Amino acid sequence: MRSYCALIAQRYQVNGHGYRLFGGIQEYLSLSILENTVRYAAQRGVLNTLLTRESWESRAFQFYAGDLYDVIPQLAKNYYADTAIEGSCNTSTSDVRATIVAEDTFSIILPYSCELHISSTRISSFEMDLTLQVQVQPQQDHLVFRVVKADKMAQFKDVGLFQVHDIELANYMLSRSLERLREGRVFGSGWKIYARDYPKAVLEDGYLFLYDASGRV
Amino acid sequence: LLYLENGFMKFKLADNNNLTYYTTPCNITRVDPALEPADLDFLTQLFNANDGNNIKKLIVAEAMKNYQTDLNASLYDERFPLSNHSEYTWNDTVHKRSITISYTMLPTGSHLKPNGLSLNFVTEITDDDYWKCGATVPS
Repeated sequence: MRSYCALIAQRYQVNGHGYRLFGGIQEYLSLSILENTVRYAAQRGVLNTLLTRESWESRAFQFYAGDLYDVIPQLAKNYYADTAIEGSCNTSTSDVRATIVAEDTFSIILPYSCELHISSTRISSFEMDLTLQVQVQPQQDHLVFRVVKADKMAQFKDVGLFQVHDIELANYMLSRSLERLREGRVFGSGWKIYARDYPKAVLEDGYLFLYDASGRV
Repeated sequence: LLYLENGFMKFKLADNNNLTYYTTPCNITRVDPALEPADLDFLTQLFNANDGNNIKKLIVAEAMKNYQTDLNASLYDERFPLSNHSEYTWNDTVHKRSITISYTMLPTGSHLKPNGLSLNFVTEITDDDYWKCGATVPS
């Protein structure tokens, strides 16, 4: 997983044109370790989430029945507007692939199955392929992962009388809630790395390369 | 010498085989049996000749083999086992849950070259039956 080289400087090829020399200890983290770790965590429910007002509220959807009156009109007939909604989203993917999208950013796709409830009554169900663009932010002795962009492909299902009439609005509400993913660190953060004064991370084909930019010559 | 510090594997290379003379001009100070000064100068020039295949390179290559042997022995030395274990812990403050993932690292070899040392591992999540191998990471 980690390899440490006793080099004062190691040749490092850049875009196939010549070489740069980097000082200090260099470290490589295979993307397959990252992929397997995410998949392992997903299969153990670590990436599941409860859909609560605290975690996923947005200006478009504040987890009250009234928010969804235009999306699912049946709700207006059954529930007062201030009736609380909650739910859950679960993933147990068996295959995670990381794709590099920028020098320090990769994307992964996680399939989620989600439900919304009022009390014990299911009012909505949808499947969602969530595409996350995740930026690697190396700190002095650990990595931080942050979501910089979250896209989704959602498929809404009717649940009995609770039929989705405005898919566009439902997608908009979902997108707004997913913006909350950009607020903080996500799974993977806290991954220990060798301590460096000025850590830099570069994603290359199949691995994350870490070095100390203060030692660059 | 391979050793552990804060869960990281590190190593020190003793330079008692003077590997740095691969790139540094050297003076031969003694030859047994002794040579005339002119012959010693000639031998020094020959030793430092930068024609890509000089005596120094051959000596360094032999020294590298010795280091390589020592290093591989150290990788599997039961008295000084390398770290074969590391952990990652994720604390989910939103859902108030955490997971600790344990990794097993199997050292598979090492290579010592004039420009550095590489150590090779196969890494797996310890209790994971579905590990999928990826590309080899350069080192």
